Amino acid sequence: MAKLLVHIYGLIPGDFKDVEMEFEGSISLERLELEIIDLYGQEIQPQYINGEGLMNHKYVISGDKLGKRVDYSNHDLSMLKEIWFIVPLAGG
Amino acid sequence: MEGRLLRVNLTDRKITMEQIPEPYLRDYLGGSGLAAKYLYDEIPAGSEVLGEENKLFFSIGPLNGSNFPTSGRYNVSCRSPLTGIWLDSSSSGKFGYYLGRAGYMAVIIEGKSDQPVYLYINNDSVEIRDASSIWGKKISESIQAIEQECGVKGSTTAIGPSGEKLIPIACLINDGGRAAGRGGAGAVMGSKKLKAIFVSGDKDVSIADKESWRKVTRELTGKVVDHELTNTLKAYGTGVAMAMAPQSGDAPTKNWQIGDWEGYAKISGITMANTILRKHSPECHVCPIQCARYIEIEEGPYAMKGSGPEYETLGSFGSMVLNDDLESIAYMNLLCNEYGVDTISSGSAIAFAMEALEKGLLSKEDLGGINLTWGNIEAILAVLRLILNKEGIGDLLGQGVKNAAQVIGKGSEDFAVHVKGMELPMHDPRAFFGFGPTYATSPRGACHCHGYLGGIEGRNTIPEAGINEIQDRHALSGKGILTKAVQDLSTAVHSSIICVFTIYSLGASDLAQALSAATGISYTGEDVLKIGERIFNLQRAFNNRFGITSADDVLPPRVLTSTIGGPIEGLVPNFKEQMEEYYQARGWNASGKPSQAKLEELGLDFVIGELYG
Ligand code: SF4
Repeated sequence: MAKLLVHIYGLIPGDFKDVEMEFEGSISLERLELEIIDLYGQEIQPQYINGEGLMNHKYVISGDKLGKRVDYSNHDLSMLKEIWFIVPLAGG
Repeated sequence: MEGRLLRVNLTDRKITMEQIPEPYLRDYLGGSGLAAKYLYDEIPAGSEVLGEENKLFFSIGPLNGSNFPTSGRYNVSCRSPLTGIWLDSSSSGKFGYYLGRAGYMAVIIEGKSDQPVYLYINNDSVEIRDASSIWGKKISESIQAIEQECGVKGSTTAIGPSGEKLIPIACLINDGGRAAGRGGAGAVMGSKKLKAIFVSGDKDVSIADKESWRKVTRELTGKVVDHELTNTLKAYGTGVAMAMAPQSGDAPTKNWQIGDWEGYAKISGITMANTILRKHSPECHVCPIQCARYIEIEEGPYAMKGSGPEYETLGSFGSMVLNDDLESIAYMNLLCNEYGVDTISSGSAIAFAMEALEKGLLSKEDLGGINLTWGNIEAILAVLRLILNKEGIGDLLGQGVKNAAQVIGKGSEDFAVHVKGMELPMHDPRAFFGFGPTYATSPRGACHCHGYLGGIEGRNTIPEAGINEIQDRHALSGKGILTKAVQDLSTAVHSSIICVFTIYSLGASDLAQALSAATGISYTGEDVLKIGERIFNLQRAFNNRFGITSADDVLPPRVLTSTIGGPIEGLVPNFKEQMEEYYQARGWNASGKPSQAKLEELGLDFVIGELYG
């Protein structure tokens, strides 16, 4: 069983989630996104989900702990331990 | 449409009331715009920044004094002692609301008092009162004493000991920690021996079309309430942006050098919400966003209660100096609010001094024996106290990084991160490319509020300016055009005058609807942008008067070099192309002046004589 700490920041109004998810087998970005959208799709702002039911990467950045982008060419994310999905905000 | 201006001369203690000419209100609205018109006309070339001829212009706009969302805001303008050029600085809270209820659109302060005074305004009763007993006192104590003496409900904006000592990064604080922070208006107030302004009033605010007003206010409040970011800002405050820094790369770190740091999460708005946050600060008048924080640290060296640090302060006393201790940042914020100093400029000056020490350009002796190394909290606090009190190295750092680098020399200019003398705020032009031309051309020097890209780039469109596509933050073209549009919109917002955070949810046409109902003049979204453009160009002409040319529209070398590590490593804006596009969009000539044709188009003919002889 592989574990991944998933940070979902800026996709759900007023709720920044840090959730630990567990997976059998390898976790691709696509599989992870489908899982997240299955769990939180009702709360995620519609513009952040694309027509294929995945994250809309026009807005949503997915990256690892060092800020490196994670994309669909990553076939197994379990080594990362943590992953972020964010819609950046330059406010303040 | 009408508005009254209160003119207060502190030299001869004369107080007069004037009607603001209607064309001024129509063409410049209020806030920053009205200030531009009056100060362009009244502050001559060659005048001293801290002399009698500099004037302070406090102003609101047609939406203030009402129940419009975020309309408690006010603007203060003058010539800046930090940059020598245009300054406007605005603050939320309730001061703008009470100024509107007192029946004034603006208060202009001129001359100098020889004794400490404060200004008392209660409807038509206006007095210059003695402030000797509070001169030298910290801000909360001063405001408490003034409000006790005045005995009516109102709002006070005041300077602290740093403004009295004429420190060029001194600011004004009102309503429990709201700040007109940038550019040193506090020092101009100090030079006039004006400690504070108290305002109260209960007049009805004039609304031209009450029925439309009720409808528009209800609808636009709903739009703000329903926007996705409203709940986010309410839950976590502006510090939420720090939580995104590991991915966005937007938080400047180690004086803009690195892009990767483990401390971001420890000082974010999420951590604040889970630890020291007690409630939303109630100090901002009718605001559905409620981003302001009220915090409490019960024990330890940083025990305090009051206003919590904003994102900008988390950056300047956190990531910029590698301090990951949230409570200490809150305490530094408190000190700045009590002495009246801008947190962005002071934190940036400390980061600059850290790098200068590390590179051997300053010695430990220069710093009075303080070992100012990255992340050394006690040392940061010690140097901050020197800045606040204008002592030792603090005297130099309080002049801003541009001036400090000129004195230190030896290549320190390369890491003095400022534009026109104003330290960059905590948003990185390498993370959002639009901040490049925005910082390079903002009328008060590096400023994210005069072009509030955070609300637009990668997030929103401005159809009234022909920007119909959301722009990628790292796009290589279009930033000049985008910057102009965002600056025009932001300038109209600062002149209306409401909180810039409404730009997330309200566009130019929304603002036009509100202004039309309030004034009875029919504005369109395009008109609103045109007004913003007019004001922006008038502020540019003010700066041209004080020597600004295209050679000053630059970015510091540090942000034109890649970060070391992090999500934006290798990304640097194509600044030269951005600026060519920007100048073309603005209609400015190669020397950095608005062209004659542009000035004529905007109805700024009165500027042509001075700019073109
Ligand atoms: S958005 Fe924040 S700063 Fe602006 S008025 Fe509301 S609480 Fe105050």
